[in-house]
Amino acid sequence: MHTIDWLIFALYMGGTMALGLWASRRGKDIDAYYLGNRSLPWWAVGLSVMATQASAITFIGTTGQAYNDGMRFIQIYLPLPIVVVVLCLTFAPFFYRARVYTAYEYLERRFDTKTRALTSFLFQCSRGMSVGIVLYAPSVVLSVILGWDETLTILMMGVTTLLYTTKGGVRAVVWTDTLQMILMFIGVFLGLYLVIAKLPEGITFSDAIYLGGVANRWNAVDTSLDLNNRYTLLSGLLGGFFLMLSYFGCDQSQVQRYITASSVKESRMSLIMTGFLKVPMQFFILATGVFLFIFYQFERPPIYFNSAEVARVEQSPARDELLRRQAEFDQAFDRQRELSFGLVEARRNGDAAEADRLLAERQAAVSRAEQIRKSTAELIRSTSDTPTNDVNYVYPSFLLKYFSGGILGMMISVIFAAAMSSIAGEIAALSSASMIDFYKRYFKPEASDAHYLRAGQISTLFWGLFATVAAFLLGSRGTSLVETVNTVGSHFYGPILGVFILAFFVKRASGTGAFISIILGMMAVISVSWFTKVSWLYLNVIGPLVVVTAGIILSLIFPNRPKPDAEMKNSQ
Amino acid sequence: MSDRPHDEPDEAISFPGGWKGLYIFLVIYGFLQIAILYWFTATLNRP
Repeated sequence: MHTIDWLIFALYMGGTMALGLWASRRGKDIDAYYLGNRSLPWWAVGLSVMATQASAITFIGTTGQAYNDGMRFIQIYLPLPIVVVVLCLTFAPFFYRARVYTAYEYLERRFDTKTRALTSFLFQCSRGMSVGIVLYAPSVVLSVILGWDETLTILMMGVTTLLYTTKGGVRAVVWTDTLQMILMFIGVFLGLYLVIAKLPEGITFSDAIYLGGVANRWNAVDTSLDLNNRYTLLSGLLGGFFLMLSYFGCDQSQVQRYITASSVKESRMSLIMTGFLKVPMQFFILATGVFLFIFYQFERPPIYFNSAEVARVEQSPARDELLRRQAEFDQAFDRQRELSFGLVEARRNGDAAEADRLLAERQAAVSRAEQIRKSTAELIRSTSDTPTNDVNYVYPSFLLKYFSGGILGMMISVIFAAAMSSIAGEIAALSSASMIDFYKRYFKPEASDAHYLRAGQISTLFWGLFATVAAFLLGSRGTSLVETVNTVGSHFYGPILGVFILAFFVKRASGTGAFISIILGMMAVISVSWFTKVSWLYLNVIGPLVVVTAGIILSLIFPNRPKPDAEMKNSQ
Repeated sequence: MSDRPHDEPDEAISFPGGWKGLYIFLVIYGFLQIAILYWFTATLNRP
């Protein structure tokens, strides 16, 4: 990175820290720390909802995924506008008017303590794992770009975010998220523009669109009904609906945002904003990955984007094999590039027969190059002790190689903004769940505001440190980071959503029935995940289905006992 | 506290048709997105 890049990056880090500390100055009690005194404007809350959801994984992993696989990942977001309507009609006003600190707090009022504790515990397991991955993702970027040690990067990211989150709580998180989300919007469009602007001379936007199409990269909608096919319209609409409903409706990292708004109206407006903006944003991020793929049809890509792994193999006994494959790849790529230019030219001249011939020849050359790339990836994996892939290295390595003079610094800041906003949001949510649902409920029900504030800050600190350790442990997993986060989350999302559906919509549901049905739901989801090849998106359907069905039946066997008044008071 | 979410009147919103109008608009927007992406795929994707 050049000096100007470093300056921009330092400006971002300093600005975020200053904003976080500025937002921390108001409020000295637990209401301010976890609810921001319910005084935040809807647009800031809405941007915060989006910023928490969009992590660095969104930029690094999603672009890499689109590079390899096209646009089809967008299908899981398609039900979001409808999910937002459901949330606005039920979940949002319900949580807001219940004046709860956590979503799970309500479950004790509706069911019993054990159901609240189990659900909150499941949330903490799920988020605790994902926050580690979210923290790890930007360290991937820096390990490639700056040659920094990943451990050092994880520590730097974790500590900076933890400072303002611990001090200011949710208010600091929402205001820094607002800045970070604005930066992300700029980053999305700047990133797309940069890739398109780098297309070689003579290749028009229309040519690029055409080449993306023949490579099956504009596959935004897949109408296949195959249940084992990961991303289809069916899995997106069905699995995505339950995934989004669970994430935005029952996940404390989201619920905590929209209960900080100054009224139910503002709370709803923040969700509606997300419903309008999320799919277009994902579209442009995925399109960046596709244009990156098209760019690398003309510019020779690395045989493997993770340069650190390539360097490692070059020092190993597999070096000669790697060099042989590199030579084969170069040859295949040169042929592919030549045919790509020829195809574009033939198409432009209206020579359909020549275009068809070149297209067939080019497809063969592309397959050959792809085959060599895959076998090289296998070679690299076979010489590594830990699983590895290069999906998450595609975008950062492009930025590093082709940009500097401020743009690189800006894009690195955007990736950091995405990471820090998610980490801060998740740490704040984990802190509130452990503090309100466990510490305040079981260990210290009556204490001063100052005590709870202090305990909340310690809880935030604990989760920040936990995330850092989890980043070291989970970071070595080799699949795409996007899928790792979502796959892990999917084991928990469904059962958690199921218990809230029971709470909201099944009047006769009982505490014991709900409690046992969550355990059955978890067992069902884990069994399906382990013993079948069904797409992980369907796990989000199976979970609530099992929990609601089992909950209805079990509630008949274990009906509710009337709650004594004293017990109701204790639950608050 | 009541267990039901709709026990308080909704605050007004300046959108044609009020909240109901906004929700209908959002649902239409959702289906429109699917239709546009379907058209997008059918038109541009030709593997």
